[in-house]
Amino acid sequence: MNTIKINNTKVYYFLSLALHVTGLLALVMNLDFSSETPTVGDPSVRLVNSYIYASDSMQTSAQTAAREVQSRTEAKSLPAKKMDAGITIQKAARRVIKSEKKAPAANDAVNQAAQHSVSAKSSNGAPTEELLAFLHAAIQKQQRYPESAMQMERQGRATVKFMLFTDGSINNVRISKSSGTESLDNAALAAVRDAAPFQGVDKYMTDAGEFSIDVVFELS
Amino acid sequence: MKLNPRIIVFAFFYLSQAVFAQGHSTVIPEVRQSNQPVVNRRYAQVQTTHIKREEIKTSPATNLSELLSQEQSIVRVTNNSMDSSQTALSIRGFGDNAAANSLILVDGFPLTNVSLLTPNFNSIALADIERIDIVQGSQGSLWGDQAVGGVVNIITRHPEKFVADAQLGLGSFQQNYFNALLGSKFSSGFFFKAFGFTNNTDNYRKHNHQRNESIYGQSGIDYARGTLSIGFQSSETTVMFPGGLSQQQFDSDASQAVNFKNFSHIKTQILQLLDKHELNPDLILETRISHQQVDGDGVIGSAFNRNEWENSFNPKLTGLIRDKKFTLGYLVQNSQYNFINSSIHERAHAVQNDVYAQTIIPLTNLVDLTLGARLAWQYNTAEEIIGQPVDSMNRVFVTEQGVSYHPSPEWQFFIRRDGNFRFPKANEETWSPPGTAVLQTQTGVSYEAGITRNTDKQKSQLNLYQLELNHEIAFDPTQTPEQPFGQYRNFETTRRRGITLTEYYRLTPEFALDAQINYVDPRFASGPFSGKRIPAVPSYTANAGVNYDFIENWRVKYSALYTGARFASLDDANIGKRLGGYWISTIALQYIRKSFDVSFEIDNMFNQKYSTYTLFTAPSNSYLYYPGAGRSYLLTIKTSID
Repeated sequence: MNTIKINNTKVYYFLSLALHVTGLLALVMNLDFSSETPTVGDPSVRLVNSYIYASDSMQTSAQTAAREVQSRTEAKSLPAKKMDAGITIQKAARRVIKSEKKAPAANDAVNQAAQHSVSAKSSNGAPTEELLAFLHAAIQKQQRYPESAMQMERQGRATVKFMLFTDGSINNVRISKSSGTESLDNAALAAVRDAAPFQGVDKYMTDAGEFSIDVVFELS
Repeated sequence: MKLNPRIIVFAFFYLSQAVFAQGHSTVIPEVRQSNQPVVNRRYAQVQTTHIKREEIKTSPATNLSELLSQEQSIVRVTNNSMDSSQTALSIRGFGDNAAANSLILVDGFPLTNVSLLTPNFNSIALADIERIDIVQGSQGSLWGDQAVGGVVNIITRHPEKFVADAQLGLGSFQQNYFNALLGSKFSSGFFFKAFGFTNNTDNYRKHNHQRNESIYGQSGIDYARGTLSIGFQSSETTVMFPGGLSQQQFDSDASQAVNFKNFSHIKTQILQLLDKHELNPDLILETRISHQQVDGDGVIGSAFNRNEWENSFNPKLTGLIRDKKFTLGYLVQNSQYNFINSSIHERAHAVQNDVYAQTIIPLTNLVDLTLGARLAWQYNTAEEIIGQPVDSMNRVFVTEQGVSYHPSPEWQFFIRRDGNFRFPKANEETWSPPGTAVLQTQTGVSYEAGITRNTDKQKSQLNLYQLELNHEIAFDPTQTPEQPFGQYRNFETTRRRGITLTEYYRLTPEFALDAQINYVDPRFASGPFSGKRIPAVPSYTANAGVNYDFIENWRVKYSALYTGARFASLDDANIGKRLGGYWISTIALQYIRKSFDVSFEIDNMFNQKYSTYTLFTAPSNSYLYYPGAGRSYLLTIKTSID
C-alpha cells in the first residue's frame, strides 16, 4: 500500500484553514447570523479592518487588534460568546486571505496576530506577548546583512523554525522557506542561533514549543 | 440516540483545530535588516549624490543627460558636437576634455571608448536604471583611468519579478520617442530583461536631424551563491551637423545651419558576460568579460570610415576580512582603432593592464580609514598612418588615503587625498602636434574635505577640494590639413580649487526644494599661460528646483540651471571676451499614478538664447557658436508594471 507522507506545514496550514472556514460557515449557519456580521460602529470590526488595510504599523495594529478582540471577548461572560475571539480572528484571517493580493503584508500581520492570539490564550495572554517581543528583540540584535549579499544586491525573506525549551536552549533550527540566496539563509539561521540561549524565557513559558520567524533582508 | 447537529459541528471544528495545531509554530514578529547603515558608512568616504529610481521614474526626461541637467549641477552636461549621443559629463571644472576626465560606470564597470568618441550613456534607457550614484572627486586608485573629476555609476535594474515599462514622447522639432522594457524572474532563478528605444528629432537647428535606436537583451540566472548573466546591446545613431555660427549668424538666427553635408553614423555593439559568485558569506568574486565594437561612417569635411573594438577582462574580489572591507581587482583591456578618410589612414593598438586594491579599516566605531593603490601600465602602437608613428609605454602608480568620521547617522565628515591619472588613448597619440614624440600620461592629486547631514526632511552636503594635474591632456580643435579633426596636447600644470554646496529640503510631504551651488577656480599653474583661467569652464554653476504635489496625483516640477561666465574654448591666454552666464528653466506638469503618468514639459521656458559650445580663434579674434535649443515642448506618457 502506498502511503502519502505529508510533512509540508503549508499543507497543514491550508487544510486547517479550510476546516476552520468550513466550521465557521457551519457555525454561522447555526447561530444568529447578524451577530457575526461586521457592522459599522463595532470597534472590533474597525480594528480588524484597520489592520487588514493599513500598511503602516501593520504588525502593531494587528497585535493591538488581537488584544482588543480578546479582551472584549473575555469581558463578556456569556458561554456562547467565549468563542468570539477565535471566531473573529479566523474571520480576520479569512478576510485577509481574500484580500491577500491587495495587502500581503497585512496577511502576514494578521496571521501573526491570529497565531499570537492562539498562543496568548494558551498562556493567559500577556506572558506570550512578552515572550514574542523578547525573542524578536534578541534575534533582531543578532541579525547581520552578509557582505556578499550586499555586494550582489541580493535581498529576501527567510523563514526560520526552531524548538525553544524552557531553559532557553534551542534545537532543530532550520530554514522552512528559503530566501533564494544561500548567504541570506545562513545569516537568518545565524541570527537565531547567535541569539540563543534565550535566558529568562522560563518566565514566559512552561513547555517547550516550536517557533517561527521571518528574517528579512532589504536593500535600500 | 439523536445527535444535535450543532454538537457535531463544534466537535468537528475543535477537533480540526487540535489536529492541525501540531503543524503550526508560534510566529515571532519578523525581524528586518537594511543595508542602509553599512552603505551610509561606506559612502561617507566620498561625497556621493544619489538619484533614486523614484525620481528617475517620475522624471519627464527622455534620456540620461536630460535627467542629469534637470536634477543637479554637480555634473555639468556638455556637448561640443550637436550630437546628443556624444554628450559629455564634466565634474570638477573640465571643459573640452571633460569626457576623458570623468568616468561612467555601468553596474560598477567602466563604460569607455577606445578613441575620442564619448561613450554613449544615453543609449541606456531611463526605464532600465535603478539608481545613479554621482561620486565627486578623484577615484583614481579604485576606478583608474579617467576617474579624475568624478565618477557616475549607473546601476541598472535587476528584475526580481515581472516588470514592464513603456514610454512615449512627442515634442517640438518633430521629436518622437518610444521605449519599452520587459523583464521577469522565475522561481527557478532564471531572469531576463529586454528593452528597446527609438528617438527621432530634427533638433532646434536646421540640418541637425538625429535618429537614435537601441536594443538590449540580458538573461541569466540567480543561483543560491551568485548570478550569471549574458547581455547584448546594439545602439545606432545618425546625426547631421549644422556647423558653427559666426557672431552675426548667431545673433540673427541661432537655429540656422551653415553646413549641409556633414553627418555621422555610429553603431555600437556590446556583448558582456557577468558573473558574481559568493566564495563565502564575506567574499565575492565578480568577473566581467566584454567585447565592444564601434563602426562608423559619415562626412566631416570629407567622407570617413572608422571602426574600433575593445575586449576587456575585469575580475574583482570584494569582501570583508576581520571587519575591514577590501577590494582587489585586475583589469586588462585590449583595443584597436582604424580610421580612414581621403587623407588619413590610421591604425592604432593599445593594451592596458591595471592591478588595484582598496581597504576601508574601521579604526573605531565612528572613524574609518581608507587606503588604496593602483598600478597601471599601457602599451600603445600605431601603424600605417600618415603622420608620426607611435610606440610608447606608459606606467603609473597612484594611491589614496582618507579618513571619515560619522558621529551619528545624521552627520558625516571626511577628508581624503587621491591620486589620479589618465592615459593618452592610442588615437589621441596619433593626433598630437608635429614635433611632439608622444603625449605624456596625465597624472594628478586631489585633496578634499566634506560634511554631510542627512535627516528625513533635509539633506546637506558641503565639499571643498583642490585638484592639481600634471600634463593634462587637452583637445585643440583647430583643424589643419595634417590634423583635420584637431589635435591633442599636454598642458603643463593645472589647478582647480572649488566648493560645492547641496541642499535638499522637504518642507511638507507635498512640497520639496533642492539647490546646488558649485564654484571652481580653474587655472593654469605653470607654463606660458600660468595664472590664466582654463577656458570653457564656468566658475559658477548652480541649480534650483521645486517639486509641489498640489493636488493628489498632480505635481508641478520647476528646475532652473545656471551656467556662469567662462572663456571660450581655446582661449588659453584669456584674451577674448568672457561669455555671459545664463539660466535655463524647465517646468513640468505631471499627473502621476502608480502604473502610469503623463507629463507635459516646457524646456527653456523663457527661450533663452545661449551657446552650449563656443570656440575662439585667436588670430582673427573671432568666435564660432554652437547654440543650445530654444523653447521646446514635450509630452510624455509612461506606463509601468512593477
